[in-house]
Amino acid sequence: MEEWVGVKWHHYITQKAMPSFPDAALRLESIQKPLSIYFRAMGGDKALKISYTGPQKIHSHRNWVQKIAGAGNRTECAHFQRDYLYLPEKIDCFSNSENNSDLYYWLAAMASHNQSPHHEQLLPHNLYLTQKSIHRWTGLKASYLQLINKHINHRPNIQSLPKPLQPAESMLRQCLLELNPNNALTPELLAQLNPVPLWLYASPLSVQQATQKDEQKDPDLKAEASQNENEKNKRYQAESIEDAEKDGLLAFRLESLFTWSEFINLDRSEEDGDDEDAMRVADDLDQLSVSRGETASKLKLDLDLPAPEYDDIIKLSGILLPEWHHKKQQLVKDHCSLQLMQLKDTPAATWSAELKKTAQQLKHQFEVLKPQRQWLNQQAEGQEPDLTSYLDFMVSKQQGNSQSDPKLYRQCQQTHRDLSCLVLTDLSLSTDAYISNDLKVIDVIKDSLYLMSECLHAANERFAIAGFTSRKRSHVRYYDIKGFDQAYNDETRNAIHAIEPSYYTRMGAAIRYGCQQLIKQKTKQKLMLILTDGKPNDLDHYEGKHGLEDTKQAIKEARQTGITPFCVSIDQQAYEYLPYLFGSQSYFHIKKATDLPKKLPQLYFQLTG
Amino acid sequence: MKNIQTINPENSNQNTGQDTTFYQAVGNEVELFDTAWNNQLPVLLKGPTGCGKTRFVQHMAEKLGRKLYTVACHEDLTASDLIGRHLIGDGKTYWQDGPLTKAVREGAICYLDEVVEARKDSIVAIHPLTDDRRILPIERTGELLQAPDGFMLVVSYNPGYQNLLKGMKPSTRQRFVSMRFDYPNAELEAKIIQQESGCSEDWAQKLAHLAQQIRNLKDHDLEEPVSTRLLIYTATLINKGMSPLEAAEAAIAEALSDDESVVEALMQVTKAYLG
Repeated sequence: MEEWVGVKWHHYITQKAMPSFPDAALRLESIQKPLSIYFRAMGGDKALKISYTGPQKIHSHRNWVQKIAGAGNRTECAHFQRDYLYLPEKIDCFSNSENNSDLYYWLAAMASHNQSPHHEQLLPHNLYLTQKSIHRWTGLKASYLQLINKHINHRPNIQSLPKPLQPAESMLRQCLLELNPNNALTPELLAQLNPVPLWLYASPLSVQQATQKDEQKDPDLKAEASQNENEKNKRYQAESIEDAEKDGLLAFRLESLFTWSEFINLDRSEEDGDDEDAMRVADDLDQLSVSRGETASKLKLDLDLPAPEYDDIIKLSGILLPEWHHKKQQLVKDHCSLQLMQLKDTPAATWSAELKKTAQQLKHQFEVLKPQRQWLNQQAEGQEPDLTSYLDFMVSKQQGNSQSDPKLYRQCQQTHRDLSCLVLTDLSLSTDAYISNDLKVIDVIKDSLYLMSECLHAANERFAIAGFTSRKRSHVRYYDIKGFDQAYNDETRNAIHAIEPSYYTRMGAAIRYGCQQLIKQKTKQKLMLILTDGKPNDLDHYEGKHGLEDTKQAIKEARQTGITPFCVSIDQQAYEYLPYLFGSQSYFHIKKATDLPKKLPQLYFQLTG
Repeated sequence: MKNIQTINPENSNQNTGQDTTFYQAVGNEVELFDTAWNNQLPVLLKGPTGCGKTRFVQHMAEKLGRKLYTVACHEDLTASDLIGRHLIGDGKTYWQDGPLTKAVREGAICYLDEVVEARKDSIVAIHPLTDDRRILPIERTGELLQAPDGFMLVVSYNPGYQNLLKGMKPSTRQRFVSMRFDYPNAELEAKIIQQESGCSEDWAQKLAHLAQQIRNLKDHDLEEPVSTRLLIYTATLINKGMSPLEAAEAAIAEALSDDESVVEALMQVTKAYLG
């Protein structure tokens, strides 16, 4: 009951304190894609990503309702920070959602000049950017005027402000309308006024750095810390800890405070892994206190191999395969032993809605590959005469050399795509590495396999999926995720979802076994699509030259049997060795690993379409 | 050979005595083309769609006073579509010259548009014409044509979208003097838009600047950016009384992408410029 009342009260009082229009609220997520494209089109830095921040602390004047509500002291401001342009997570300051959307586009347009305002020159710099935008994009003028007028109506009543702030507020309003900076409006006064949602604000880090410049002792630590923060997507406000709260009304018992702060002398720059709880707590914090001082030392752990009791089912073992010995320049017979594996657990998988949507879009594209009816010329029999062939026939007859078996008809036939494709993916432990905040390489591979299979299935293509991993030459493991003759259904989808990284990458043996499977296919064209994240390697000297040479040999053998191998790699160094293994035309290097799921089907389409 | 005669000579893209087709030079392309023609060198034009490759060839043919034979290449284009074939009439067979043969006989310019679309084996037919021999052997009739000095072979393609299986054989590509075309700068483009659509200078300027902005999206969000041709379409629609935003939506945003969010973004950019 107490909580329920609390929640109701909170809603009531915050609504009273800050005029907002939740019904018209627009979330950044809903327009993020067009907004990013817009930002780039307007000239914004293409390397920047648009994201949202946690609210920042502001020091504007608050009325008593706001103080009671504990509102008005944190707000989301648009600003640049390193690789990101941060915009508010949601905008609800106008009563109609079109205005809220216009505000997002306005902020993106302001930001597309790629200038981050200095915190002491906030007013002149923003007015300059506004003028520049309006001048350059004349269509934005009407939009600006509409937004700014509405915003001014929503600003607190001048009379309700404390006496010293009243002239400042009216000066600000005048500036916003006339776009002429007023020197009497100092940064200190400005900071006490409500923020202007149409403005870009200084990067909080640069503000902090300006105030902390001389406190910085250890440049190495700073670099490391900033690198860490760089990888964060959602940012929280980091500020020095001296900032003491003096303004505000404490109307609660201390233990039921809505917000809390902490300071523990921990080296945050070294802490890895975002556990969810920490994220939740961080959301509630006013600020994260980050220490730059000297703290505890680092711990380094080596990852161990997974324990055997969790192992998958061995379907068939003792498949012997040769390996290329490059020093002797010969194939060593029965050097590797391959086991055909089956996944132990394949729990029902759920794929993200976004992935499903992408699958839907791509499927549409792949429909084109579906066997279609096509007119074939020069047939012995058919529905229509082939005029060109007939002409040629008559001409040669008149000239005295007639054919005995003329092919003079056109026929409409179902054409079959004469192609089988084996997707062979690397499941070594290196795919367990993180490539972004919450994605591992293996997740990207799973998503790719899922999208790929959905597309190939939609196009009626003949395909198989397999994964491989190895631990020395005696344990090369080959997971048959989907066979050529196996139907594609939920079982296959679950199997794709259940794949786990383990052990190493003995690529040669896996390619040889994959070839044996492909050769059995009766189609004319056979494509082997190899997905990997690195070089071949294994414990028993299968690294460096040996591994590369064996793989190269396996690929050569594949080509000789009429298979087309093609490699897709997300390894940053891929260009150094892939041309050597596959030749300059038969590999593709995906620079951004997270693009793999979308790129892979497109690549297939391009290769075979 | 006597019973074979050329029938029904077709006129393609004939200059009917009007003023030469408008073409706004961007760099040294006119000079280069002139020199290549004077020295019997074949030319390859590459550039994005709608940047003026075809218009340039048309303009040059008129300028040089040569007839122009244009062939739009496609997958089913055979060598006999280029060289010619026999036809039957009145109980006799007639030989019909293809556009390439006609151009060789008349010392005209033969232009193969989007040459990568044609099957590689049909394109091999042009090989003997593109080296110093400058000959065209016609297998079916046993003729061997020597190209006169006025004959010139021009091919074009768009390097933007290429299938890994398509693309030009290096042995073909290395037979041409190559010229790269791109969209002109805003000032020149505005001039072109105004000239072609008859719109006001102000609109031409606005559209040209809008195009510059949209071209920022090349490779990242758009496979191919907005072409000068589309800008001319837009200007024409505006000039004929359509509202600028509607015109831009139809001739720019929707023409460039099927993706709704891209269209939405393009419309917002358009609004910022034209609204």
